[in-house]
Amino acid sequence: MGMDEENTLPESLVEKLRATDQDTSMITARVDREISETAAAQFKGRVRRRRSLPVWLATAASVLLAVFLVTNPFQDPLPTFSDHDGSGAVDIADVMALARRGDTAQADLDAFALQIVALGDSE
Amino acid sequence: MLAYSTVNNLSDNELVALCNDGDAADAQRAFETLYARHKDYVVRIALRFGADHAGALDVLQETFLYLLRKFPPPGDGITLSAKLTTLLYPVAKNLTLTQTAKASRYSGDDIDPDSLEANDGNGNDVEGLFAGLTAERREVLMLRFVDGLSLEEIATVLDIPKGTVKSRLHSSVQQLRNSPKTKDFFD
Repeated sequence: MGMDEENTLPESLVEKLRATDQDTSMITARVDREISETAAAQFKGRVRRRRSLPVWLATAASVLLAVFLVTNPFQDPLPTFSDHDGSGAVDIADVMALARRGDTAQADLDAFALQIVALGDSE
Repeated sequence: MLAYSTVNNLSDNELVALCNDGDAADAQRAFETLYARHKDYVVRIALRFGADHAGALDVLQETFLYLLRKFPPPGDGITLSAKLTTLLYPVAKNLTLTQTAKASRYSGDDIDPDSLEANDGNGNDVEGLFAGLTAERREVLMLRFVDGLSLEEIATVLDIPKGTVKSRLHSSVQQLRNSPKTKDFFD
């Protein structure tokens, strides 16, 4: 006879063992109601919680986002400071030429213009 | 809001998850369902360890308040790694032992759980059949054969090694095998 087999009880004896447990009919509706009311008071006003991401996952996502923003391969390159109107010089007329083309953001045009002015000042 | 019929079909783990994260109505229904499933068990544990009826009801309330406080707010929630009964059993047991110890201090009586009487409904003294067992051995037998806990679960609720559970169970069964009062059951 194996150890596990030795460690079992005949069902008739289990029934006797079960009978040593006492009746639980003293649990009244009043007791149930009190528990229910206490639970209601605690959960009152609760809205469904959103599970937050694990810290390691949130950190990894932040790092990936930062790397992407810095090295974004899909970002339009900034307009180069070059002779756009073919005048032989890089000057404010090139900014005007870029503006007429209409495919350069105003912020980039401003930056270009400032650069031209700065170059002019240094000369 | 989930219907009661839906909530009733959820496992204890799913109900605990609702108590952790559900909105007010779902969390309450989930908690009430857990209570309905396990209230008899908690009271039986209290009675096993010597509580009277009023005391068992106090233990019932305290045990479920303890569980309730685990859920937010104010608690952080719980993750069940085993049956809910493995969490409820030690709480109910310890509350009962504390309560009975207090009661015996005030009354001056020592409460001996082994001396409690029970019968099988036919007037037979079933308690007498197991009278020779120590409280520890009887507890293991009840957890294994009446509550249906595995050896691992018993080890968890009693906070003892699984090997100790195994040997305690073995000794208990052997004792019943050899006892004049119970050996006939094994024939």
